[in-house]
Amino acid sequence: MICHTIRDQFDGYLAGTLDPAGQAGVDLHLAGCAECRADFASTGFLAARTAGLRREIAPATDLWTGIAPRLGARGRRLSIPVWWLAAAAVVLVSVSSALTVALVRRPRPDAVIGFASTEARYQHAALEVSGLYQRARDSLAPETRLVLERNLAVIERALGEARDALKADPANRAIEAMVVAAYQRKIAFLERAASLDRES
Amino acid sequence: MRTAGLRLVLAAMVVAVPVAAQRKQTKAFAAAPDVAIRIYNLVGVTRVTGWDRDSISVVAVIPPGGGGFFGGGGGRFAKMGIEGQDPSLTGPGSELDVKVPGGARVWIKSASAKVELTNVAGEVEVTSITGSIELQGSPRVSTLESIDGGVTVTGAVTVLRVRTGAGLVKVTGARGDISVSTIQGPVTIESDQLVSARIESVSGRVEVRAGISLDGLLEVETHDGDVQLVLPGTTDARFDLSTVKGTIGTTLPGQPPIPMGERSARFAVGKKAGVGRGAGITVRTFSGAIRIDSNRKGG
Repeated sequence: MICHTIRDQFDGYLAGTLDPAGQAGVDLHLAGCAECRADFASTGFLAARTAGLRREIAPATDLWTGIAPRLGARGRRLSIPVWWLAAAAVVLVSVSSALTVALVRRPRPDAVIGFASTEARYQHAALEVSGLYQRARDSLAPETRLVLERNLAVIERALGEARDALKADPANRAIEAMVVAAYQRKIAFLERAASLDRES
Repeated sequence: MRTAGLRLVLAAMVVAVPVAAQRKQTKAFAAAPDVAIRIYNLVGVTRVTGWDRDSISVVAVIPPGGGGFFGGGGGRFAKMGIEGQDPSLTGPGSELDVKVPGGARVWIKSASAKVELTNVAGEVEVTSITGSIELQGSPRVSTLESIDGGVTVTGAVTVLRVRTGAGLVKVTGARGDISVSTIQGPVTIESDQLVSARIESVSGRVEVRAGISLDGLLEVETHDGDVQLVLPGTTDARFDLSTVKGTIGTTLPGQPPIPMGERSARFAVGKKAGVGRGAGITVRTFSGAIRIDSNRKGG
């Protein structure tokens, strides 16, 4: 029940429209609820990604002003050749597609900032579960610790490589998704590692 | 001659001592066909077999220092296992042979103990640290987790969740909804017809040799693990392949090879996929190579 209520507040939390008590309530719940933390992480990731998108992208040049008079002139001659219409459509589609691709691919500082805040939240969550694991670590068998930490090192290496690649290409959404997946994997693994203590 | 005979007798005594010191306990009780059973055995072997009877039968063989057997329940719930066991015991550990009703819901906890499940048709959940897990049969739902042990599944499982760290995962014959996640462990999936499968690994190699049903989904994601899909020549699917630093290669009927150096490719193979239907196959890697081939056998 409480999870449901907290999840309803994620959008407000991310938009910064919750009052301080509401913000603190969400923080407190997230600190103790792994399921909501995972849900929050994906909500934050989506919000950051969609916030960076423009509502519409207009072509830099209004092609219609050039096309309309000539269509009119043809119209006065009663017919417009089909090939001409087809060519115009091809030109229009090509130019607007090229412009769209160029605009969408251009690195947008606000999108980069959006991901930075998403990443900060993941780092915070990873730090928290890492603390849980450190507390559980001493009660685990040395062989178990070795196995866990060997696997963790592989996850850390992959995360480091993905983050380096994102630094080199900050607008690359595919790498962003890989960084997020690597954080999620690290958090899930640390949670599982910390729970081994409770299970044994 | 006499000395040799004496040596033989002495040798037999040395071998016989640990065997004689093992304790064997048996227990049996009635249970519901869908009884929920919890089994604890950290070190050794746990064998669980589904049978066509509404009862549970246990045979426990415990070595010296291997703890003691406990067990009880009946009706809809039962709990059993070895208690007082040292998880770091280096000897052979305890053996638990458990027969359960075929539709039982079985939960097993292991540390280094090997777990073998056969013919359980209900639900199965196994957690282990370094012990391997072998499942044969077709349970409704199977959740198998080992941090470092291998997982082998053989049979037409309906819903399967597998998670390991460095253990090898091999799934043969699954037909339903499959999810496999490893860190370093290689993954091999072989099936006539997958309906839905999601496989992810950080650095493990992923190999899928399977048919994908017409409305099926296959998603594979790795960091630097290579991915190879070998699909029937009749595959009807939409492909979405991408890598950040790896390579992409395909040999599929009617599909021109992906040019060298391409980091992403989207295309459809087959009649239905060509008009927006067909299976959906997505592969993403950071630096792992992606290879999609046809097995040339047709179906």
